[in-house]
Amino acid sequence: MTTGKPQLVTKRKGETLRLVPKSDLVASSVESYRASMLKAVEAPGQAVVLDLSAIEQLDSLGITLVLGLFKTCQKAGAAFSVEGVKGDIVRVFKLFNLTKFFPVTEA
Amino acid sequence: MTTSLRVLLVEDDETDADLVLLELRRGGYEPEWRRVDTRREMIQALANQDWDLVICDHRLPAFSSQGALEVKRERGLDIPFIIVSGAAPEEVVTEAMRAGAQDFISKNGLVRLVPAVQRELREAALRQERRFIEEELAESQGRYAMMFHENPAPMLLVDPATLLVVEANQAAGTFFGHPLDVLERTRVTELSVLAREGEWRGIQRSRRQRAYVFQDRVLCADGSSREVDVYAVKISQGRRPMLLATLFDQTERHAAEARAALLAEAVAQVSDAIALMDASGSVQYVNQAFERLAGLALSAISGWTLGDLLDEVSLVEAARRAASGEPWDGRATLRLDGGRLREVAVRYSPVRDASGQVSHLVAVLRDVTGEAERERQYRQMDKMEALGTLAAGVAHDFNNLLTAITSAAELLKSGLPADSPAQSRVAAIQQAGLCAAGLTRQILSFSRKGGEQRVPLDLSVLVRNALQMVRSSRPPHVTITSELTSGIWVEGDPAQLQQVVLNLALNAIQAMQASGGTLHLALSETREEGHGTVRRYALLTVEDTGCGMDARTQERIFEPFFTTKPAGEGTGLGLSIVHATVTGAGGRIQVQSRPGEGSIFKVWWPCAGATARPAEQPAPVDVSGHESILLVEDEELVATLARLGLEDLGYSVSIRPDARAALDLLREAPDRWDLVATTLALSDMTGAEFATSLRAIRADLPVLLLSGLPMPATLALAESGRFAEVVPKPYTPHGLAGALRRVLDSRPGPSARPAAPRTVAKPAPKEREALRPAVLLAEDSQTTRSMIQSWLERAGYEVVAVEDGVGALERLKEGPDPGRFGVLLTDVVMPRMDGMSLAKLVRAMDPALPIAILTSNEDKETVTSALHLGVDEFLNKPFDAPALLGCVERLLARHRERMAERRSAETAHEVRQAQQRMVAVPEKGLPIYSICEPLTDAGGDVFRCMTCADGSILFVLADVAGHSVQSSYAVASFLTMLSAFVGECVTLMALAPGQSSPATERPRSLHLCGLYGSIPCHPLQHLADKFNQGIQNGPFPEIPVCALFGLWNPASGCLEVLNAGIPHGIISRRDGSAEPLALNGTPLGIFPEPPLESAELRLQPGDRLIFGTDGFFDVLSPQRQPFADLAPGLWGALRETPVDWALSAVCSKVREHAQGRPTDDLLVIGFEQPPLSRSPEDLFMHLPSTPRAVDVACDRLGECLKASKLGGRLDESAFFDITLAVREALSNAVIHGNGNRPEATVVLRCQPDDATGRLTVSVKDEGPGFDLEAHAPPEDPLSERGRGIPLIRAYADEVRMDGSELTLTFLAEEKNP
Repeated sequence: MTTGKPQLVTKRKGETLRLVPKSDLVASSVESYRASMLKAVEAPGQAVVLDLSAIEQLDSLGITLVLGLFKTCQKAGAAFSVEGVKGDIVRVFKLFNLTKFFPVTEA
Repeated sequence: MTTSLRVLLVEDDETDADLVLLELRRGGYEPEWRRVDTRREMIQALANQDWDLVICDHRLPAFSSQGALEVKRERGLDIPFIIVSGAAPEEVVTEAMRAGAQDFISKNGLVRLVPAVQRELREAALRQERRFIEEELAESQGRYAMMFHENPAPMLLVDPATLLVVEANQAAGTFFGHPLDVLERTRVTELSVLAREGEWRGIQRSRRQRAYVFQDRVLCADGSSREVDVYAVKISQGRRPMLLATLFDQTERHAAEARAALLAEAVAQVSDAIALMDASGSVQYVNQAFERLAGLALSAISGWTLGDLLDEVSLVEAARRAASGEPWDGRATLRLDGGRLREVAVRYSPVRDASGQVSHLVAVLRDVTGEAERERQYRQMDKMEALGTLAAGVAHDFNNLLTAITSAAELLKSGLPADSPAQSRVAAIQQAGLCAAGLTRQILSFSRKGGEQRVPLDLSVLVRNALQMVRSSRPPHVTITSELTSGIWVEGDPAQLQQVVLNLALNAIQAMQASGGTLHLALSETREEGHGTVRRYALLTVEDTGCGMDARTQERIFEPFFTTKPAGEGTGLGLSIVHATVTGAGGRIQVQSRPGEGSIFKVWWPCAGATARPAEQPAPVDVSGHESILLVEDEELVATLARLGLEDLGYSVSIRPDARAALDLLREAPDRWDLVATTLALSDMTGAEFATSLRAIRADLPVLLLSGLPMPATLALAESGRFAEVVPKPYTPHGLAGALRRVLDSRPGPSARPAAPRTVAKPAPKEREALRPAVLLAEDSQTTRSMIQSWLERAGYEVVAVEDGVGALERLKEGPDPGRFGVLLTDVVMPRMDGMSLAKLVRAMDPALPIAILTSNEDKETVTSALHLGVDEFLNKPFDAPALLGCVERLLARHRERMAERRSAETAHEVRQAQQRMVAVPEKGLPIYSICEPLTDAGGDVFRCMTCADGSILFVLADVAGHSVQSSYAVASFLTMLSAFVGECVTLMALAPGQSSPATERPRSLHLCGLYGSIPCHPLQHLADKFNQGIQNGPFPEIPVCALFGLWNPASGCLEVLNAGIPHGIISRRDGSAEPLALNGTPLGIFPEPPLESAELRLQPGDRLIFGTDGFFDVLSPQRQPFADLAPGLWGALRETPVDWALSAVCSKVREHAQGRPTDDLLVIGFEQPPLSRSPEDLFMHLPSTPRAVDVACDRLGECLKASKLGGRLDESAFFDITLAVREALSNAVIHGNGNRPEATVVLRCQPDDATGRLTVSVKDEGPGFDLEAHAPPEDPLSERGRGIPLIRAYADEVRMDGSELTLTFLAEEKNP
């Protein structure tokens, strides 16, 4: 249960930007995360990694947020991937065939 | 003959040029030439002039034939170009020919020049012509393309062999509504409704006809059809024959023609007469009504002016004004064939042409002859009324004067010795006074103001007296004879009867004025038998030998104001009064006459019954006395004479001139007086008011009224109960004393004397029946009112006549006896309150009182309005006495029936009220209570309820319109329907898929497979639809029903309500608040799909509902306040009382509110939500609509699940799936259902059931719900929308949407080890 206050940790290592949300990506948090994530990827570098290792829930609005990030990176020419995803959440990505568009690595 | 030839010579050698020219001339040409030898000169020469031929040397010093050909080619000139040169090799010649030269001629062979020139000129002409033709063709094709494609008319190019449309223009595409590529693959006959294949084929077969026109109706893509004229032309496209069809849409034109034809037919058939004239007034057209009115056909009238038909100077002005563009209204007289005349209302109107000029005039004529006649009659009635008003006023004053005269004469006579010679003179004064009193009555009779006094009299005596008067004034050449039978007793007013005899006799003498003759009067008694009875009549015959009358005059002699006498010599009233008097008394009058042979008038007057003959004159009564009398009289002379006369008889009399002084005197010593006699019209108040004030001082003091009013009004006062007796003026002191004596002797007490017979009393109405209801008459015209009152009173009815609606209402309200009046007769147009308003108010006060409208305006609107108000009959003015009496008889019979029904109903109601348990009772042992109090035996409010398999209660309140017998039958029919439908609905709900144990919620939808296909429908909506259809298809489709359907699950607190016209119910909450449930809806039985409103509520324990019909909520207090204003407060205030008691208490308040006079059936039901029945493991939450609340709910759900038995069977992934699906459902409810409004509630209910392994989660918002099936995963995998519902459907095992409630079911699977 990680439905606490939205907190985004960003780590830049070389040309790779790592985004680490610290709470679930659900309706109550996505708007906060959207602002901070989009600001972070204004200068994405060559690759952006969304690290979901800290979250346990991802609802439809959270998926919308992930898709928004992916499209922004696509436009900027940066590679996008999702890492640290729990198995149940991987099922959600697969349910909508999103794993065909960007790598989703299970934790 | 030479041919001119313009030749450009490109040659440097003049000699060679001359040789060429010579050769040309030799060949018959007359060359116009120029020689050039450079490029520049050639260009200039070509620019300056057109040339027929260029002859060029091959080689020039500064130029060459190639250069010359190049110049010609550059300019695009098609001029024959011949090279004339010396010998040249073949390749040079070939090169020159390739370069464009037409020939190459050696200078040595100039003999070939002329033939070559001739050939080339010919070829050039041919080329020119071909070029011209090609240009023409190109231009023509361009024009065709433009004409075809840009033509605004639809055009089709049709292959006559296949009838396929080969090409269509854009207008055709628009016209047919088909794309052009579709249109161009369609057979032209398929575009036609009429499939005119024969016409299309016929065009092609016809050899002589190139164009063909026919009518068709074509079908457009939108399904509409258009009328078209098809103009088809045979053309060739290349070598293929084609049909070019142009379609002209005539739909609007045909419609306009139809409208014009209809308009023309309407004008031809309209009931008003219409004539159309040209600007000069010459008749061009008249319609059928005009022909009927004028009795002339259009062919006869055509060319006339209306002035040839109408007698009216104004028509000239009318035509002039209409011609100048102004309408004119007026009346004119229409001369008919044979001299007959009709009065017509004419309206002239101008008809303007497109330029605004008046081109025609139209005149609309309406026959108003009857209307004009009625207007004349009404004017005469107004005159009579004015005359009557004047006469009544004069009579009052005149009677006062006569009282003085007769009183003085009596006093004078009593003071004279019996043998005094003055006795006879005083007697003459008294006699004159009595005659003057009779004259007053005659004046009133003349004006129909009443005043007639029906007394038994010997008609022979009256006729003899009248004859005596006639003899004294007869012309000498008129002889009078008579044959009178004595002792014929009749009842009537002596003055009126005398007027009858005198009028007939004087008319007869008038008829013999010129020639003389004999007047013969005869009186006899005659008997007529009929209907088992024998009627006796006095037959008076008045016969003269005068000028006589023709038949036409005889028809009209009894009409008021009809006279044959010269203007100023006759009023035309005499015979009409005779007729009215005789017929009013139940008699009849006949006339026989021929011109030049005299006239015979016969009058049959009913004989009086034996009892009507006056008894022997009573012995003189001792009218003296000693009592104290207060006389209130403003006429000093009358008062003084009365006092003197009464004092002579021993009375003590005090006089006061006005009411105030009299009342002051009475207050000083109330017991001093034994009787008060007062005149009617005092200066400061009326006699009636005075009597009332006097009662306050001393209630037992008798009051005698001295009235100078006409007899009917006097009688009305006598009956008012205020006066001990009424003495009409003029009176004598002796007569007044007699009245005093009767009153004083009738009082108990020491002063009372033995009662004496009342000799001055109002004549009782003939055949008056005890307790017979009175007739209330409201009529503002005094003339009409008096006439009706007279007719009714003669027929034995008691009549109370008032001047308008306000007066009638006052009379209806004042009496304690509601059955006093049996009939209301009312005029329509009256001051203060008209008849229609009166009828409306009376109907509200007393539904049983029959009402007849006396109207001269029987238009449909008035009749309809009156019928809606419950008016029973119409009596159209003018009407006669039999019509009036017939109407009153019918209405009284109706009144008797209604009163009997009312008494029966009241008795039944009282019994029912007495038997009814006025407490709320539970329905079938269910926790739902009702109280039903029908207004009548046939109550129209119905309540039914039934328990469903899951414990829900299905209930229905219905209010059937009306309280008639038919409505009661309808109630029975509807009850049967409702029982059947409710039973069916409950059964179907039990069979519906998804039905589970009672612990779960009932299924919200019915899939009525097998009955209605597979139509999902809501149970309440299904019930309402069935009931609605049942009403419309049943035996009482005209009776609508207001209904409210409810489905309440006491276990879950779920309540669904569907309203069809029942007033808003009230919900009271645990916090004491109470508010209406604002649900509207249309009654059932009116519309195929009535608009209804429904609501779903989640009741909390302690919530209370009350629903009722309009007989509950709309009950009005005497101050017109509806109970609905008070009900919420009351229902909320009764929270501490058990719900059934509260219901009884509220109903008790309703009765108090209505003050025991309910006006409608009362039905009210109430129930209270008990504690919700649920398992300890159930989760039930009300959430605000915020995303944070969703998180909290999901956390709580997880906790509950893990704590439940079922949760022990779920692995982490199952928890994840459940939580994610529920989260999506909650987010959907918050965002979409409730629009992110925090104040809107989301209800979450989770029921884990370990026994069945099912977890049921329902999420309900306040929105309208959505179509679950319409939400599929997005086709674009990268779409950022539309994943919520697919997630739910992916992770829940069952998903169901009912209204705004989404229910998810998860089936537990055993944990993987």
